[in-house]
Amino acid sequence: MNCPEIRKLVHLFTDGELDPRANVDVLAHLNMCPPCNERFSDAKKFEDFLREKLRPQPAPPAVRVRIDSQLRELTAPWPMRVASGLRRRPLISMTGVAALLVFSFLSFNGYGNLTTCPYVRDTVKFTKDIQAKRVLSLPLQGPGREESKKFPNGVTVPGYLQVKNGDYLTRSGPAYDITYAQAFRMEHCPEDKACVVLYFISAPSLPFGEHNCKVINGVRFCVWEHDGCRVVTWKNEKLGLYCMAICQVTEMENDALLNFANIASTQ
Amino acid sequence: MNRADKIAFEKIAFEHLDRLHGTALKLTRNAAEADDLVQETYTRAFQHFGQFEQGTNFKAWIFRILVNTYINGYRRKGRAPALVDFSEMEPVYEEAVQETSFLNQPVSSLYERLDDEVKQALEKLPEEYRVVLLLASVEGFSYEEIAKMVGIPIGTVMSRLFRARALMRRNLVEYAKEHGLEEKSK
Repeated sequence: MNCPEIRKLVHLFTDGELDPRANVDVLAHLNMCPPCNERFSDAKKFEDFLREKLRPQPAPPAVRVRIDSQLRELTAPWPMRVASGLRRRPLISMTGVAALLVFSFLSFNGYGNLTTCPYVRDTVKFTKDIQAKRVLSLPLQGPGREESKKFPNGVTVPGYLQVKNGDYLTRSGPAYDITYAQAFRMEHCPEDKACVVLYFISAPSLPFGEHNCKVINGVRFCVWEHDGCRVVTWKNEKLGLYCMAICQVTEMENDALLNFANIASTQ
Repeated sequence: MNRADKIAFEKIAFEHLDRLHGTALKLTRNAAEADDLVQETYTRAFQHFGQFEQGTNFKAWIFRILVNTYINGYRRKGRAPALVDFSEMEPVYEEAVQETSFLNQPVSSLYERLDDEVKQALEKLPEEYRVVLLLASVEGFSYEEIAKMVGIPIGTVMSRLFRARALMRRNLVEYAKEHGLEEKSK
């Protein structure tokens, strides 16, 4: 190979991308050609210079903390994931009231109807109170990231969901590909409170056996505490739905929550 | 994913945090976006950890996720790279090599004093060149690995890398001149 041919290989050589035979050819040439040798040394020095000057600094400790927390959330049983999601949602954290969760793989498609599990605590007494204001349909895929909007009564948001009354909030992000949260406000709720939060999760199996569970009237209720929230889950066999109620620990005693769940499960 | 998987993942993955974060920072040129990008990279890597083939190069695997996440998401935020005409790149490179020879001692010592300027020169590179330069020169990935990460043919990796290096030299000449290269080398 002549000098121009060799020089075309300079980066392949310094990047270690030449096959052994070509490598030997280059080395042989460099050995007897000082100008080419100089060119190659220069390229190597330039690379070393770049690598040294662009060497990364240690990542800020906060980044590691964020990732740790995200991984913990991802590996938690699903009610806990929702509960910690709850804690972060300002709309919901304002509520200080319990929330209710329903999900089903089969009972809805993009526009299928949903049956809600009711939440009852002072503000809402009967299932029909909630059903009158429930989310009527929702998509399989939510909008990216997080979104919170107000809609007038009865407005249909194509592709997302139909809301009667008030607010809804969805979140789908890297950790949650499917929209899992909807919240909306009851007419008789104080302005700053969202009284009911419904979650729809297309997600993992329930780790029933692993927690503090109690059978009431043949229904198995399991209670968790997580991030300041008390969580109870059960399965509505008749409807084939999994239900979940969440309240802040300070808002409702364990027995009261179980009692509520028991009432809700019979609706 | 169970607890043992999580521990295995953390053991292998956090070793690369600094390098991933450094690359994210240089790609996004924005600290907050870099943090988000790294977090999303770890989340995705964790969720797809089952697809990682044990015994293969984990660093290449997770960098591929980083680059993919960046290309598919963060790049769309109104940061389209400037278009540069590279038809005359080869002579430019030759010229840049002449002007910035590292074998010239006064020049070389002057470059050693450049620090932030090197980062600025990198930031001035069009994005597609910045990506390959970072992956090759800073992280030491092979052309084949970079081709897979960025989703371009190996030949394109090589030409982008070549041009990236030429541009870096070009940019550094300017900075060095500002620092008195011309006076020193006279």
